Amino acid sequence: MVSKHTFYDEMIGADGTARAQYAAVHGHMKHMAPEVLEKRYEAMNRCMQEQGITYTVYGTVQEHAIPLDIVPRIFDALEWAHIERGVIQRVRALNCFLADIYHEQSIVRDGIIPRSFVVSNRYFRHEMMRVRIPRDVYIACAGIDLVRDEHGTLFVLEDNVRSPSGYSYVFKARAMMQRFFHGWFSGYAVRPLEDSMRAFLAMLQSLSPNQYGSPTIALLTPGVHNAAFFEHTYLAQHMGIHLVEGSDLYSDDHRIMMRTHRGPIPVDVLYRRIDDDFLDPLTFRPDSLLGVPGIMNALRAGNVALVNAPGTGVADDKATYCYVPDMIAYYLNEKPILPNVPTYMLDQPDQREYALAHLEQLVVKERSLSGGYGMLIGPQATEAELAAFRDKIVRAPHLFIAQPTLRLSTSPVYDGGHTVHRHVDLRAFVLTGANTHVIPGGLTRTALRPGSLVVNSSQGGGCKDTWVLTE
Amino acid sequence: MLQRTMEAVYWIGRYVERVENHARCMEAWCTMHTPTSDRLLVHLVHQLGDGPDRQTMDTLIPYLIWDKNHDNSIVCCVEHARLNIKQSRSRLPDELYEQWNRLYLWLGEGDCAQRFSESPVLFLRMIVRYVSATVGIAHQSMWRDDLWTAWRCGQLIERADHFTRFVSAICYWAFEQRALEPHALYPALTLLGGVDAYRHPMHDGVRIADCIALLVTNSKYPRSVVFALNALEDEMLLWANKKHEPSLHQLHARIVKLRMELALWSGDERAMLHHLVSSIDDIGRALTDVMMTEVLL
Repeated sequence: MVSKHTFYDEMIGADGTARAQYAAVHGHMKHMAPEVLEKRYEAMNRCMQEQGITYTVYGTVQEHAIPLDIVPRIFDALEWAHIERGVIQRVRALNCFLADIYHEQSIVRDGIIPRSFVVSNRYFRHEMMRVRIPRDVYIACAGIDLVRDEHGTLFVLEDNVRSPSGYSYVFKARAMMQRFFHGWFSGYAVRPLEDSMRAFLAMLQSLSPNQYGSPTIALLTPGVHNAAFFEHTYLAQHMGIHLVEGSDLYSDDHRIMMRTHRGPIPVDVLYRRIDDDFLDPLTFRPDSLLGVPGIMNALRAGNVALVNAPGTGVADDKATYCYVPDMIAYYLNEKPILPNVPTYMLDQPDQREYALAHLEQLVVKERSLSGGYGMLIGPQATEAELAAFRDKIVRAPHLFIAQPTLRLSTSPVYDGGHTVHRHVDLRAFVLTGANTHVIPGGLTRTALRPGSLVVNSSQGGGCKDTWVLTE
Repeated sequence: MLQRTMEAVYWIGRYVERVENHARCMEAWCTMHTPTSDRLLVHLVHQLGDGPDRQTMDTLIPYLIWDKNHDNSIVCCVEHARLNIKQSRSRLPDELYEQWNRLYLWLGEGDCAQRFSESPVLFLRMIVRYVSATVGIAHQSMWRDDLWTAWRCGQLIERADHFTRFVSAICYWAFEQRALEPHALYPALTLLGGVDAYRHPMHDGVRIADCIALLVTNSKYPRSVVFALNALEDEMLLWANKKHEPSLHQLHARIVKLRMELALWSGDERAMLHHLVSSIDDIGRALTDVMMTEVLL
C-alpha cells in the first residue's frame, strides 16, 4: 500500500496546514471538546437511523443508516465553476450522442465510433429507434463521478446516466450538519440547496408532452423493499409528485393512467427509478412485475415522457466512457474541460496484452456493472483473484476495461474520537430540461476502510456534506 | 392520491390502535395480581380470535408481545404499521415515520423477553408512550383530508372491536370465577385510562356492569365502544356526503343501526356483547373493502 503522504488531501495542504477554504472548520474541530464532538456525532447518526435515511445491501433485508461523516468537503467558487462547466459539457455531449444513435447515427457513419460497438451494446434499445423524446433530452438526471489524483487534478471516473441515486443524501447530509453542527457554518457563505429541489421539479415539468396545463408527474419505484426506497419517498415528498408502483398504473389508449381515489388520471411525466429491462413487459422482460404493460407505446405516441429515457444505458457503459472526449469534439466542437482517466479497451489485442501483463497495477471493471460490483483492484487483490480475472478477461475481453490505479485524494473522516484519512470521490448531479442545473456540491462519498478505494454505499461507503462557497 | 395509499393509511390507523390496546390490556393484566387473573389472558386471547391451544403464561405472553409468527403480536403490528407508513411516507408528515420508527428500533434493540421480565409494566408503558406520541403527531400535523378520514376510520373501528372483545373476555372470566373480589377489576379500568373522572361511583368496588357502562355504553369516554361508533358514524356521514357514494351511505346506515340497537338493548349483557362483536366485525370487513377496492373511484 502506498504511504498516505503521497495522496492529495482535501483539507490539509502539503505544508501540513489547512487549505484556505477549510481553515475555519479545521479551527472549530480543534476547539470542540472531544466528548462534545463524539456526542453530537452519535446523536446525528442515531437521528439518521430514526428518520430512516437508510439503504439495504443487495440480497439482504437489513436496513443500514448511511454513515454520514461530520467533516464537510469544501469547494471554492472557482473550482466548482470549473466542475460545473465540465459536467454540463459532458452531459450535453452524451445527450447529443443518444439522440444521434437513435436517429441518424452520423457518429457511426463518420467513423468516430464503430457501428458494432453501438448496436451490440447490451443497453442499446432498438425499440427506441426514431422515437421522439421531448427536447431531445434523453439524460435528464445524470450523476458524474469525479476523482482527484495525487497532483490535485480532477478526472471523470464514470458517467451514471441510467438511474443515478444519491440525491436525497445530498439534502439530508446538509440538513443534519445544519442541525448538529450549526456553528461550523458561521464565517462561510455556503451555496444553499433549496433551489435544487425546485430546479428538479422544473426540469420534470419542462419535459412534459402536455405543455398547456399543469402536468401530472409521478416517480415510479420498484417498491418499499428497494435499496433506494428512502430516496424515492424523499424526492416525491419534497417535489410534491406522486410516488407510484407499477401496479398503480395502467395503459389505456396509449396513455398511462394512474389509479387514484378520485378516479384514473393520465400521467404526463414519469420519473422512473427502475431499469429498462423491467419497464414494459410487452417490450422488454415479459416476467417483469415492476413495470407497466404498454408504457413504450405511450412513449412512442408522445403521450408520456420517461425520465431518463429508455436506452440511455448505452451512454453509461464503461467502454462508451472512452469515447466521450471524441463525442465532445464531434458534437460540440470543444475540448473536454474535465479529462477522462486513461482507459484500456480489452477487446483491443495490444491494450489487452499490456493489461494482462500489468494486472496487479490496474483496476479492471466489468463494462455493464456499477455500484462497485464486478471490479478488480489489482494492487489490493490476492493471487487467486488476479488469476480468476485474468481467466475472465481471456474468455470474454470485450466485457472489460482496465484503468491505472489512481491515487485517489483523501479527506479527514471522524472515526471513534479521532480523525483518520480516507479516500473520497464526488458525484456531481446534472439536471437537464429546458434549463440545466448542477446541484451545488453534489455528494462526496468516502471509503470507510483504511486504504479502500470503494466508496459505494452498497459496499459500505459513507458520505459527507459538500459545501460550495459563493464568490 | 393513490387508492393504495388510502388503504395503507387505513391499516396504519388500525395497527397503531391495536398496538396501544394490546399494550394497555397487557399492562392492566400485569397489575391485577389476583390468583386467577391468568385466566383473563386466556379468555382475551380466545376473544381476539386466536388459537385455543395456548393456556399457560409461558406461551401466551410471547404470543401476544413478540411472536413474529403471530400477525397480531405487538412486535408484528409495529412492523406492519411501519411498513405501511414507509409505503405512504411521501403523503404523511415526516415526524410520524420518525416517531414510529423509534418504537420499532427500540423494540429491536435487545431481547424482548428479557426486558419484559425485568419490568413488564415499564416495558409496556414505554410502548404506550411511543404510540401516544405518534397519535399526537398525527392529530397535530396530518391534513384533514381523505387520508385523515382513512386513519380515523381504521383507528375507531379497531377501538370498537378491541374493547368489545376485551369486555367480553372480562365477562367470560367473571362468569368462570363466579365471585370476583370487589376491587379485582379496578386496576384494569385504571390502566385503560380515563377512569379517574369516573372513580367516585365505583368506591364500593367494580362490578361487571360498571365495566360495561364505562367501556361499552359510555358516550363521553373516548375509549368506549359507543364513543368510537359515534365518532365513526360522524366520519362516515361526512365522507358519504362528500363522495355521494352509495356504499358509504350504506356503511353509515349500518353503524347507526348498531348504535340504536345498543341504546335500546334490554336483554342479557353477554348476548349484547356477542352481537356487538359480530356486528363490529362485519362493519370492519365492509370498511376494509371500501378502502381496498376502487369503490371510491
